[in-house]
Amino acid sequence: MKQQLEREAEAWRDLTPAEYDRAVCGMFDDFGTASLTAERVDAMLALAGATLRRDGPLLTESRACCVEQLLALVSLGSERALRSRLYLLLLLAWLRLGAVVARGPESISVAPTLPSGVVLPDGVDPAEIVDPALREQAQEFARRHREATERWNAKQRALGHLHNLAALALATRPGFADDEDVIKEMAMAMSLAPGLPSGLQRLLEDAAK
Amino acid sequence: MTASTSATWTSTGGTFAPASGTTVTWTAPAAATTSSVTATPASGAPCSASMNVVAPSERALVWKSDRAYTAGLAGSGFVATVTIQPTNVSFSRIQVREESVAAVASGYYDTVLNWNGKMHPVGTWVSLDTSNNGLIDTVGTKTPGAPGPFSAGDFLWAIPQSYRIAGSTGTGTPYSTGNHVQIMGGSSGREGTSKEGASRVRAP
Repeated sequence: MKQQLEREAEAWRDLTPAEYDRAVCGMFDDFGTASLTAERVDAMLALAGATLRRDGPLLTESRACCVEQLLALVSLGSERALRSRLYLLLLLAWLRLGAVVARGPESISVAPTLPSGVVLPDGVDPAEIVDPALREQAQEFARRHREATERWNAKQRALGHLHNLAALALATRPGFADDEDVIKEMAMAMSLAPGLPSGLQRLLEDAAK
Repeated sequence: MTASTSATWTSTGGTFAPASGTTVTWTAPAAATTSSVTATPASGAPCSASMNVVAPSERALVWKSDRAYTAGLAGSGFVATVTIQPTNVSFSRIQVREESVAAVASGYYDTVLNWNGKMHPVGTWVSLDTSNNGLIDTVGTKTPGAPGPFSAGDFLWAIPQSYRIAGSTGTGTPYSTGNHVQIMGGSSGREGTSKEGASRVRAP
């Protein structure tokens, strides 16, 4: 377990968000779901807890990998105490993805804007601007546009995962009947995540009835 | 995809996550093709379906608003929403961008504005929403507008449009050309701007 957590901490410290996403998905893949010992389940939950505590505004794939593993554990059936932890982690991952959606812009321009005072067609290469001050301003606009695009792209990835994970979560039926109310409460809690599209919100609200 | 009982899922193209169960997600392959997907239960006969994978065909721009220019200056730019066609296919797992091209300009746009050969830079890879929308294109002369003396001329950016699978790296696959055209009629400075189905005409 300690080794897993050290690898996750190193990845968080050293990697870009996209690289971190891939690294953490790889760690979850290493666990698999076949013949999981109690010790390995503990290690997986510790990894889930560690990565979900990270506030990475662009992280999406690692959240989705985490949920898929947690849902696989739910479907295998488990002790009541473990199930409670699984549901809490599932909700935390869901809220993290919802936060990525909420942070993303409503739409994105295909090209950065140009500064006022430039007589050029919009979308022109900033290097074409002769005036050095205006050129620098255009390059700054281009940098901000790249950041906005990253948030937009992360939002679209997160939305795709939320749709898939909702379908998986609602289809996953644990092997114990006493969790029916818990599943309904989970669906209601999931429906309250920020940034959810109305269709997905309705799906979850209906599942909570 | 859903089966009435737990099954192992296979396909001639694309991937499944998870690879078995009653409800799985199939991710289409990266190229236009036909794939056969099969659900094989532990007992009983397998069930197959054929899936057509469709590549994007073109962009369609819809005028959203005019850009405001100063009186006496030329300009007919506009803001448009972008939709990737066809709309009966979801492209939420691809990214698109505009590629680089040099402008071909003559008359006013060459001699007065010096736009001939101006480079359209390579854009940033941008994802689409679930309706193939969410992109905004700002087309035409930058505000507050372009000065005279006005004369006949034309300007063309034949911008290659590319797509790639989200999460992949490297260059994309070209799928269409977005022609950004500006034409000035003569000394009045009356100008029209068009791009991929959206257009506007304005006089200074």
